[in-house]
Amino acid sequence: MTTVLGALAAPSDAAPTSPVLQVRGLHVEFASRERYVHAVRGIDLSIHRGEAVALVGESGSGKSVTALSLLGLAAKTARITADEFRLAGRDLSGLPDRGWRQIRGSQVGLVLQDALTSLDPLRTVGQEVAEALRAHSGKKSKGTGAQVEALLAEVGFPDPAVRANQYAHQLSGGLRQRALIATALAGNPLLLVADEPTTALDVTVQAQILDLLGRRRDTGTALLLISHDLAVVSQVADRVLVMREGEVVEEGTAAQLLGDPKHPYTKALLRAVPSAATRGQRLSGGETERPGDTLEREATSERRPSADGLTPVLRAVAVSKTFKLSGHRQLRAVVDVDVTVAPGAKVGIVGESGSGKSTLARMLLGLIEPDQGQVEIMGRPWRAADRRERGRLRRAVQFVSQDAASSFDPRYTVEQIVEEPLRSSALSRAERAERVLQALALTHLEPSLLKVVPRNLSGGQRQRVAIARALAMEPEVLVCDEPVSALDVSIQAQILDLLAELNERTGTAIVFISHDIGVVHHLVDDVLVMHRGRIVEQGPVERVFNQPSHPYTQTLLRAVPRLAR
Amino acid sequence: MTTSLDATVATRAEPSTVEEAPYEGGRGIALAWLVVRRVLSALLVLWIAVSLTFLAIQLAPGDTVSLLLGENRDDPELRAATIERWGLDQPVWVQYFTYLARIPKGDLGVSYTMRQNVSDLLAEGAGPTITLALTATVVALIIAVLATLINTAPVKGLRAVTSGIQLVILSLPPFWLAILLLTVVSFRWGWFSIIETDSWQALVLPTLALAIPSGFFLTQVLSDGVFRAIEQPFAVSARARGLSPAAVRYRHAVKHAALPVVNLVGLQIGGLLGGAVIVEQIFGRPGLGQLAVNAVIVKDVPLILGVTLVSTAAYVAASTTVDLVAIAIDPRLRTARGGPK
Amino acid sequence: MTAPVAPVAPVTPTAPVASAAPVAPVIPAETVVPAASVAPAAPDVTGVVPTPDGAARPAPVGAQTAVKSPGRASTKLRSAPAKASRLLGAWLARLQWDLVFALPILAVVALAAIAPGLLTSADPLDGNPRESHLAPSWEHPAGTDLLGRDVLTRVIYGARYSVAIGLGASVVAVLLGLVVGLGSAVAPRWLQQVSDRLIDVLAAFPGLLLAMFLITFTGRGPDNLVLALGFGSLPAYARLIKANASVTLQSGYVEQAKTFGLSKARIVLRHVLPNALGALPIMVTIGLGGAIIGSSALSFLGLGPQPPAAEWGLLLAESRAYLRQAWWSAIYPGIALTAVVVASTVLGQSLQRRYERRDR
Repeated sequence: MTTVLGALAAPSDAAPTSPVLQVRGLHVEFASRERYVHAVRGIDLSIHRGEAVALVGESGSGKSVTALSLLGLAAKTARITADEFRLAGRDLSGLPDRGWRQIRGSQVGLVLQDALTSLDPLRTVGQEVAEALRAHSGKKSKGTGAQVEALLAEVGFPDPAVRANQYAHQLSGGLRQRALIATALAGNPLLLVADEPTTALDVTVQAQILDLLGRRRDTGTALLLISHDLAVVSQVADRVLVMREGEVVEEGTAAQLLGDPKHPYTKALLRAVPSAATRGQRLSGGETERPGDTLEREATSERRPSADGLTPVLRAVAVSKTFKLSGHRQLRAVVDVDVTVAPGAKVGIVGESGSGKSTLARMLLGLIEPDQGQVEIMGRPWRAADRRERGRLRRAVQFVSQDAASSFDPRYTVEQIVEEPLRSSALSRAERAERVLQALALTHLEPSLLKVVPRNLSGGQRQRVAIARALAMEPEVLVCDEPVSALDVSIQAQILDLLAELNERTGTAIVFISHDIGVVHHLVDDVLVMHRGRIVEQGPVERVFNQPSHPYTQTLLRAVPRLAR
Repeated sequence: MTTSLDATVATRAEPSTVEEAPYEGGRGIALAWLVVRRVLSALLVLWIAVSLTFLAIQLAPGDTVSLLLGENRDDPELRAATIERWGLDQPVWVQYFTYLARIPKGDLGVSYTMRQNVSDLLAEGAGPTITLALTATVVALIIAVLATLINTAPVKGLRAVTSGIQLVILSLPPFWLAILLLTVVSFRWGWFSIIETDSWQALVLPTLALAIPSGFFLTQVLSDGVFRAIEQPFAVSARARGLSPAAVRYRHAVKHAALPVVNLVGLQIGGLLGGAVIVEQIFGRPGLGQLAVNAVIVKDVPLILGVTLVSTAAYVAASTTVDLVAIAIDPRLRTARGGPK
Repeated sequence: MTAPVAPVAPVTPTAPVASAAPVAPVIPAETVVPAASVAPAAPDVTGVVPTPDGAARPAPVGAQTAVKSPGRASTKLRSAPAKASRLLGAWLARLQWDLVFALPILAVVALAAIAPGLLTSADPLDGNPRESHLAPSWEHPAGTDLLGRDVLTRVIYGARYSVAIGLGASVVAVLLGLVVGLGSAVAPRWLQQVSDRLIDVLAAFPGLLLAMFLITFTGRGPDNLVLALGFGSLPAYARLIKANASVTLQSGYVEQAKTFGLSKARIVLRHVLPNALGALPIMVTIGLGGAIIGSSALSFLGLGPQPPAAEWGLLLAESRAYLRQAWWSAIYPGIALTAVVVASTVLGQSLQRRYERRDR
């Protein structure tokens, strides 16, 4: 197995100064019946042995297309041109697919984002790795079994002999990703292309995977990292290329880019990243004065007296929830949790996937009844309320989910979506129409969007509509479950600014649930850290994140990738 | 609804406690339990089916004895025998249990138009029909695999042509297809005479008449599955390992495409029994289909009950087998916590 | 064992069959496209890039050789071949050929069903025994049958039966399916399991056999045929509607509606029912082909309209005895049937594609 680890193929050794990958003027165009898209517009890219280069950009920047082009795997409608395209000194232009097949796996390896779907679910990880090993040895070699285990051990599989017989769905996210990396390393490639390799992972696991990739780079493999997250790539990348709309707008070492960005886009991108340092600041640039300011203030002044400022608007007292799984097993999703949300407060709940935070959110919303404990809304126990009162209490707690698109009835227009919660109220038609306009104004959406259906909105607009709908009820609390995790960083910045602004203006309390420490640190005042269904630590965000006392919180915070300025 | 939704969300959770623990011992038992549960549910379906037929007899207008006797309703001797056999002078629940108790013994009553025991008639008819259905299934599968190979060949524009042809074949009324085969192949060309119903030649055209529609239906599903599978990320990963498109298709995609097909073959076996009704009629073959048509035309209720129960049993047996095969193919179904779908 | 859809009919609503026309690239490979002028401002690449499947396909030889143009050393890695015919092809592909073909057929059939007298002046029941089994000619384009009746006229008049019975059966099946499927989707869990089992059992009978079973009790005739066929395809529709309704009930917007304080009844009325109803016309259209085949099959067996009616299945049954002498009386009804089924399937699939696009 030392061969896999150490030695590199001859060509790059012969000319140590020439890069493993040398691409100049790469263009990728897509032409289909409906649209023409010039996805990549003349980028230059060179990667040397043992160098890690990162391509960073938001969705639609062309970074993934670039990655696939390097393996000749861009879609069939793609037209790819380049002034120069060399791998290990060899000119790859005009290469037929047969030629690409020789290169894929053996010279360039690819790691995709979601290992659950990127590994064949009907085959064991051992079979997948073996397939990758065999792809270039030509024949079925006898020693494959041992090679598979060695390779799995190399990427950090505990007990590889047993694990090789497991299927992807039986492994944890981290192990799955390791298995996928093993398949990409099987051919001992000169260049490893990793497209968002850690995006689907929890931060503690993400740190391990980045470490694995970094060590691989140290043994001489050239590494191309594709990511939307500057902080992630700054951990390993020697050089970073910032992409926007198919072009590289800025290039430099990670330290240069992070410390002294030149291009306005890079600056905006960096400014948009929420963290401890950005508390109380706006993340998105521009617009200060907005339509609807006055409209809204009137509404606020009418509303405030309803809360006395003392009773918590939302409180969970020792709530627990256990789910029965098949096979007589159960999952204790939430165990003995207390949450108190004061009027106008911003409370964050942080946890990794499976920590029970979404279940907790659903209990706060009254969508799930807790097995034990109770949820109180404005001091009123949920359980004790009769049907009519429940309706009233429900309206006081509103929900913003991660996936706004799926929270809209596909038949509805923006107007109908925002109006829907009001339809069961006593408001007249005209009053409802006015409320809808107010809510849109609050979320900085143009009234011209009223008749638009959600599929024609951008991701950021959709999330705004979702927030507008929640606000139309004039709730006391907004429960936001991962509201920005599906969004690009610049859009995320706008939504975070919006939430902070709404909290300030309308006094609506916010419960903000997220896996992202930086986002939480930026936005909230008090934070609860959840781990395996329990709250392990809570308190003011500065205290909890600056002097964590619980070991889990400490691990979590250590794992967070930081912009190393 | 929310609860179940959330449970699946939560299941993904707790990686260290739930997912990674290799409980080797538990898996065998869980698998056995899965199989037992599947078989039990098959029996449950059969029981409900039997009960439904009973309910149909009870709910039918007119008196039950006349219904059962059909054209012989005026024969006092048969009347008395029927009342006794079905316990028709007893309360309804006794009738029900009498009925329920008789069926496992193979006692399905007497066909008064044919003046024979229904079970004997069925036993006689089952042989040719099962032969026909099985050969048709095999031929349909062969058609499906071959047509899929052609369908999925990487040739530009091919799919538009083949899918058009398939649409027309699938839209042919099966009985017309049978008539066409009979007219052209047998009468015009003089091949595969259907006169001697026991010979293999007589089996060819009925088999084709059944297998062509069913085979092209499976082709659609199989091709669609292949096309869908090669668009999955795992296919991209496989390509990135240097696998040829053909290897991706035949090593990865076909197995994925086979999953729905395995399920459908079970359904098709039930459908083929329905198809046999027509094919047997047109080619003049004896079998369950002929029995069914005759029974409906002369209103022979005991006989149609028998045919219905037998075909249900065949269907249940087929779909149970198929589910077990699916468990063998798809590891995700094996772990009990694979979720509802 | 979740059967996707309508196993009764050989027409699958799941797999789009027709019009899988390949997407033709419109950009000629030799043209260097000025990037800025054509490209949209913010290309959402993910929305456009089809999955990298076809990249495997070796491009034609001409495209692979590196083309060095004098001005700019442009190297072709891979590109689609460009031909003038491609532009024509793209234009033709944009035309919905399937509908161009399907809609006229359906129009003619609809006309034949509503006003057959406009298409033919002859009487479908009135024959001249001396003109028995005449081969196709100018006077009788589809020949005559045993009793000397004009086959074409009988086929035209037959449309009324097939369309009426097929449509009737589809509508019955869809309405029953709606009641059972929706009812089951919103029922408490135990009731759901009971109804699921019952639907399983009904699905266990082959549709045709189930219809025959019912006809044994109800007797023959067109009305009973409609009911029996409708009931026979109930399980498939019930499952489909239930599956759709369950998806809606578990969707984010229903969860959201609960947080507004909407009652379950309101949620069903406001979200589940409208979403289910929206798909019904498509289901009826796609199921129509199967229903027409089923109705003609049962008529063929003598369980539908009785002679001398001109139902297509019955025409085929009558022709069986004289296949050697008068093949034409077996050909034309079959062609008519096939054409209607193809056309309605094509229309249904086209509607479905449009509907699915709407959801995205």
